[in-house]
Amino acid sequence: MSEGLESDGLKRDQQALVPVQDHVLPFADAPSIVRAHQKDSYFESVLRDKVQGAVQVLTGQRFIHTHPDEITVAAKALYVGLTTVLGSRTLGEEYTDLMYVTRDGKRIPKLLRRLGFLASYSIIPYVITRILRRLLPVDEGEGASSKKNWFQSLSYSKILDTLLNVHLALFYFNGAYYDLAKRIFGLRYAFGHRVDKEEQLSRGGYELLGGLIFTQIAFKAIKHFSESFQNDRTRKSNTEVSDNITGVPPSVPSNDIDLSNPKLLKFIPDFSRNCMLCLSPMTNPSCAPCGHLFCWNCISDWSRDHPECPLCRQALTEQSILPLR
Amino acid sequence: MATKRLMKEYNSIQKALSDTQEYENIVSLEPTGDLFSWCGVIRGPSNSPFQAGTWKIKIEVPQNYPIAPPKMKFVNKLCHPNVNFQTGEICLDILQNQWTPAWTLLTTMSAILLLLQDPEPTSPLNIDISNLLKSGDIKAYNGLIRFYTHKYAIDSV
Ligand SMILES: [Zn+2]
Ligand SMILES: [Zn+2]
Repeated sequence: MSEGLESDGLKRDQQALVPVQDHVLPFADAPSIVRAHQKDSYFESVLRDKVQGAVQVLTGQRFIHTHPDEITVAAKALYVGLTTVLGSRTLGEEYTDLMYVTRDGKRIPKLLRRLGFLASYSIIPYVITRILRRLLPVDEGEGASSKKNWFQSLSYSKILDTLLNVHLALFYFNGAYYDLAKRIFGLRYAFGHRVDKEEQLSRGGYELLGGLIFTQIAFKAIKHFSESFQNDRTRKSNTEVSDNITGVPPSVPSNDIDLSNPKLLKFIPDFSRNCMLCLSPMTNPSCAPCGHLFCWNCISDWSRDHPECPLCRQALTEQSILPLR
Repeated sequence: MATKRLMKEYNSIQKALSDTQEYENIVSLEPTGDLFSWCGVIRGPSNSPFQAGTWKIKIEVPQNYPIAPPKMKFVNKLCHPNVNFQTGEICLDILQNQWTPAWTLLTTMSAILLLLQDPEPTSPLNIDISNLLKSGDIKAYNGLIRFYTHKYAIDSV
């Protein structure tokens, strides 16, 4: 990537801009921020692909499948770390000529704030989601405690969704902070150039969108209240019945690919659909570097102690096994 | 995985034993009790000094079979360069480091039968008979084996 070159250019930019302390840079408008954000998320996804490629070489295919969130967090942190934290602009910010200023728009945010933004943008949401997933029960149906009140019946994801929607609506109204993390750390965007009135008018605004989101939130809230009110009434009449029902474990939908189903992976011919380790139709067929197929579980158990294919003795590591999808 | 696979092997063994000439010297191969302990019976090949003998082989299947090989040893005494005369322990590469899950209990049994006719004198468990083989005294080698076969392996099963 070309951050190195850009940061050189940017340092010159900043030197040119900092003396303009007496008159404040104009705050950026919502459309420019959204455009910058779209560019950035595109480049973030490009960077994520590259990171994934590198991780795959180091750890193997299986890790990629089991840790997609972690890779995304790493890519986000890398992108912001190489641009914002180092004091240069992201590619999206360059595209619409934006730069960070403090809340009052008079200074450039300090390193600590930018580091805080990095953390709250990439790592902290991931950590919070993990913790809350563990603390709060996932099911939103009739859980074990039938005496939930309306507040307890609010799930974490519902609260977060509403919060993010309010935040987004505010952004559409005043165009200040597109990211919640940027709102918290007071990283506001300003244009790196002057804006004349005509340019400002031609861009228009997103106030209508903001209004729609607020209306939506209002309707959801009304619906939620009326539903939980009704539930309270029905629950009172149903308590005796529901106590008698013994819990039936929900059937877990498995993502396993079971080759005893002839419709799956039709390109594998009948005579090679059995795994020679368990002598049964393969579950999650996986390919060794030599081309031999086995169940994922069978071959990974084997490869832990034996770095060779059980059929042809060609070299084999757990990392080099490729699950077929 | 082990139980599932042993079940599959069990289902195919009886058919293979009755249908094919390939296993003519394997008299029986059956689980004793659960699927993790088996008993096999082999017959001495007709063109060998083991002719007319029958040997019982005790098979212990590990819980992580077929990742790990089964343990097999002779129950009645067998005089062979690669079999411990006292304990019945078998020195066969596929029962140790050359094991792959491509082998089954049945094919491993036929590998033991091949070992009877094709001893490997470089890794002996029975020094006396191995030395006879190394010295090239085939007459004495065959004679000694025939003697022990008649002593320990006739009507033994
Ligand atoms: Zn398998
Ligand atoms: Zn292979």
